Amino acid sequence: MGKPRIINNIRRLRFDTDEMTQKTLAEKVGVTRQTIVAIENAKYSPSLELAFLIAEVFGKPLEDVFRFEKE
Amino acid sequence: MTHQERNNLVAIINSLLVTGFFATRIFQMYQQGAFEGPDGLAIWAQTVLWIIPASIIGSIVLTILFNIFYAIATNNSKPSFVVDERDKMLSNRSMITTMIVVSAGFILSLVALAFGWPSFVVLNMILLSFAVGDLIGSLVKLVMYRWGA
Repeated sequence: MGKPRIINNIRRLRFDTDEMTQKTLAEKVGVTRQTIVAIENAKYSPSLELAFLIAEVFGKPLEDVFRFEKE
Repeated sequence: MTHQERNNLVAIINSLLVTGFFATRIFQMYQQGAFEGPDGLAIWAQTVLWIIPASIIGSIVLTILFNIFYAIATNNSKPSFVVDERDKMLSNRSMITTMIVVSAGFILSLVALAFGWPSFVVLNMILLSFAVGDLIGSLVKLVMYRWGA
């Protein structure tokens, strides 16, 4: 059984949303830019609350932003 | 670099400087025979207690200097001081690492004492385990910030 991980489309969604910067997204959800970088690179899995906040910024359901898959 | 990363770097430098200074000082005093005699452990404890204010003052001075140089180097007069969930998670993991190292050092010290090692040496082993635990915790945090948790 492979190690499960959470992947996301945040980078693409930022680009589609008027080319939003990582810093802008970070300020909107109340985290540092480095945390957004870590999330985009799948080096950090956000809490449920943060995941919902990010999805709300893009106006998308949670499953359109984050995906759970096993390697 | 986030505010917490900068603080962590300052903590590592401060830990190395303070530990290095007091280790050297205690060793010099030991060679001079300052810890021999009935008051030897009391003199050792008085020397070690100075680590607390030295660490605090060192941390404050280094934090101020580091943030000034960082602001100049990055040309950013308004650095962010946000502490988010990732910072808190990494702090918790760092603390767990520190506790494990300190606990291991303490147990080793007890074993040494059980085997008849001098109490002066054992007390220094306990002190060293705190210093090493603190340093390793900060280094683990640095690694997690740079390469992910």
